[in-house]
Amino acid sequence: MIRKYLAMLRRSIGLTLEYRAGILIWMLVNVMPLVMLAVWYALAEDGPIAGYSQIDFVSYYLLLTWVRQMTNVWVIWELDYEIRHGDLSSKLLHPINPIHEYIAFHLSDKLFRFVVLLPLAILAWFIFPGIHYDVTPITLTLFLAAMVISFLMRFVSQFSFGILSFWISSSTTLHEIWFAASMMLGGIVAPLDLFPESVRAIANYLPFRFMLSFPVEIVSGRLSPADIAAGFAVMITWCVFFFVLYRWLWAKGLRQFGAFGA
Amino acid sequence: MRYLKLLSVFYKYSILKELEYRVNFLSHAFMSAFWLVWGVVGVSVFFLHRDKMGDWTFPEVLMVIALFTLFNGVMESFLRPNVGAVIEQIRDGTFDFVLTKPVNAQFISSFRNIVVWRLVDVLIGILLLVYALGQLHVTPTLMQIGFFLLMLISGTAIVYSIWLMMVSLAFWFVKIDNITELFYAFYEAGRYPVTIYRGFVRVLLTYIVPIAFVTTFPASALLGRIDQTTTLVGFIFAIGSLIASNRFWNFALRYYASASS
Repeated sequence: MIRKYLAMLRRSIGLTLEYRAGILIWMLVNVMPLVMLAVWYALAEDGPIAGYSQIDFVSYYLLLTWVRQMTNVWVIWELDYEIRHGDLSSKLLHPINPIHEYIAFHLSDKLFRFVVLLPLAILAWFIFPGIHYDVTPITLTLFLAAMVISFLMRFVSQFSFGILSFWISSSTTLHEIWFAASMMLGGIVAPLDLFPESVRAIANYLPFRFMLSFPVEIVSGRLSPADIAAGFAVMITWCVFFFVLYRWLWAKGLRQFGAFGA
Repeated sequence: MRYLKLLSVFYKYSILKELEYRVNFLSHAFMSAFWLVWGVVGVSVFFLHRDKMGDWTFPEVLMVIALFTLFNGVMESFLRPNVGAVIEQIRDGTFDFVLTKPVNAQFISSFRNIVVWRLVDVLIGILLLVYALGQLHVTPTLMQIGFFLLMLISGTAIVYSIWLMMVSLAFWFVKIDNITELFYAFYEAGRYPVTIYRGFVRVLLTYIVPIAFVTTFPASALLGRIDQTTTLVGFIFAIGSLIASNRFWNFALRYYASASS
């Protein structure tokens, strides 16, 4: 499997480099968290908001932007297109589940983005020398683990939405609602600490928080070890749930696809 | 006159084509309402912690959101379908057919298509605008409405110019079909009054990617916060950008290489 992945990665890195201009534009498109940062930064001029000072907002949103770049997923567009145009058929002939080809493409994209973002991150440190994170070997490990699981969760859940294209033509519209919810409750519009207590209590059990803001929260120093443990428990439960959902939908979808004669 | 006639033919044909996909209307209407609610909930989070956003109260910010939605409808109906078509024509070489028509190429490229369903955004934007004005107990004077309309027209002209320049870039860089997404990313910042932003960001949104002209300034005009001078400056800015973008388009046209060569 590792050898297969290496081969697929080599191929998709080539693809990524070919589309580098497009990917750079897509990276710029992901500036939404920075817009929110600009707004909160101005609002926090007269004093901290719910414990967040101006520099806390900067720390939070810069890392959130980074995590978003490293975990963003667009597989639904590819899957939807390939199902509707029948391109998926040829991929199904390959001796490997197509999901791995999509994952490999995403991974090489992450590699590219990492290389582009590294100098920018260092630059940000110079512009805002006050940004601070609670970095210990333990939190760092947990942060990285959470980021990887976030990526998997986003990937598998979005893939499941994409599979719906076997039956309906509006799977991307359905996913738009999901996307809107994840911006609201995933910590982009505001850090979850700034929502009313009742909303936060619900958000802690919904998947959206774990697809984006949870890794950032881990190194923010605002979570107790118990919070982190509880977070991981919920996160892994959702991840397993989406994986089972994907397996189930995929099996059903393929049967539908075959019956369709495409 | 001839161009007006052409325009009506273009739109009639587009609308007939769209009527085949009537279900789209429902899903667009639903999504428009959904995003509007989303936007209102989003700013409510700010107002949980602060009474004002850059000197704007909640109903006043609602006006900005209303204009954001309204103008989004304008872009989605009139601009996006054309820009998408032109970029594709440049890529596969069918732009040749546009050039060989005895009509100005910029005219065809800008007004050939319309997606009527997205005018729903315009409608719900206006509804929210009226609601917000009711909440504020403000009845704009005729003069303020005049400034508002003038600002809106100037803003439309400015944004159209930006889109035209983005399309022109496609004559050099064929693979930039996502450049319009970049504009939308900046447009997101127009959800909030531009006065909230500081320093460079505000300059960027006022003069470089002048989104303030389509959301914040028309709202200010209705609230009577903008004087003749600002309106006039906006109007001159609009004319200037129309001329500049037209020049740029004509310049870029010379680099069109068709597909086969």
